[in-house]
Amino acid sequence: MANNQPAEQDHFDLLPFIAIMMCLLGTLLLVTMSMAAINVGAGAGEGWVPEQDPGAKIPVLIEWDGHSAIWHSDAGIRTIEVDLARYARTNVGWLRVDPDGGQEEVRNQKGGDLKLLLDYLETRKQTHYALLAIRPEGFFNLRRFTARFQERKIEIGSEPVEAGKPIHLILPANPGETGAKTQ
Amino acid sequence: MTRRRTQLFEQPSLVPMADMVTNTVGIMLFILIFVSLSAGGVIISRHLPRERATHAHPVWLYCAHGRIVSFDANELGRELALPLGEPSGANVEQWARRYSGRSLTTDDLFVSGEADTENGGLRQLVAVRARPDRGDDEAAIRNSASSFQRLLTQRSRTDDFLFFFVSPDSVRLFRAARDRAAEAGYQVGWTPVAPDVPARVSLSGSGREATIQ
Repeated sequence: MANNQPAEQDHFDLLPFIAIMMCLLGTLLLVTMSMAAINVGAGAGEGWVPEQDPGAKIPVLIEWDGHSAIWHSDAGIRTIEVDLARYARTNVGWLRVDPDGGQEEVRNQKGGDLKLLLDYLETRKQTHYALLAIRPEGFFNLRRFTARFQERKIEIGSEPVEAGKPIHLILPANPGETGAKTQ
Repeated sequence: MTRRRTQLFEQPSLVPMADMVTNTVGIMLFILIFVSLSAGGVIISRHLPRERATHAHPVWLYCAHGRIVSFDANELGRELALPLGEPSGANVEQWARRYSGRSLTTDDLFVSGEADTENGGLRQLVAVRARPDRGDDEAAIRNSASSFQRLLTQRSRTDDFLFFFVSPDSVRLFRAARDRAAEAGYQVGWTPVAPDVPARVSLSGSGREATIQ
């Protein structure tokens, strides 16, 4: 009976199957190449590894973009809005002096979180230092920012970093109390 | 006649091709899984900078617009001040005003003087801006005939250190130049400069000390 069937019906047509497979192959190629380009190429993150020197201080990574400091702390990543203005006590509150010289009477000081960071580093300045990753937007006022650390005699190091590039610090397995998060 | 030829034509089997395509898709799936797993863990090891004072003599370099240029701030300051003579107590304010109006153009740089008086003391600076398309770019600094490479061979590794003024558009260039300098045995420091802001070097000892990192 099978022999009576027409010759075209002996096997099913593989062309649609091949077409689907080729489409899948193209999609997979696109996804693979995109992932590779994003993660290995321009969008690659950087892992910074400290020197293996017994006398070296432990870095505390802080990213600076001109407006906020991103502190990679033990408790996680904290974003701190930084106010670079100076404050002087007055009878009614505070006199806020902008970096460009402008003055304003305010009730409260801003930038309390930066004080936390500075306090943290100041209490550990024998063993820790501030490692600043500077984004291009932070170039113009970096010196004013670092002055806050230098006023308290906290050692710093700085490294320029491309905008948007993820940075993380890779510390040895047992660095003690680090202040920096290993990711 | 035509009908007979059609009947004689034998369609080639697509089974080997289907086999091949299926295998390729399988391999691609493996590659995709491998890339997905490894992509998150890309690490670039980097020397971590930490500022330290040094007694070495700074060699100034300016990285802007993707080019790098070295300059001798003391020499430029002397050239700017040449027609003005030496500043003295009586005319120091006038000297500072005249010095601030001075400028010159070198092969690679626009140079201007900046000076003022503070508590009777003179604060004298040299401000430099890059000239367009002058200096070595990232490709050129790998060339042994480039000005940058010549500088590395001419200067002392122990008595000099390289200090870079870096504009945001030249971070990659700075890193490449710093790597070359480190390979050559030099210590290096850097400071950022905002776009279109000149690099300023104090000749009177005021301001922030250049450090190595």
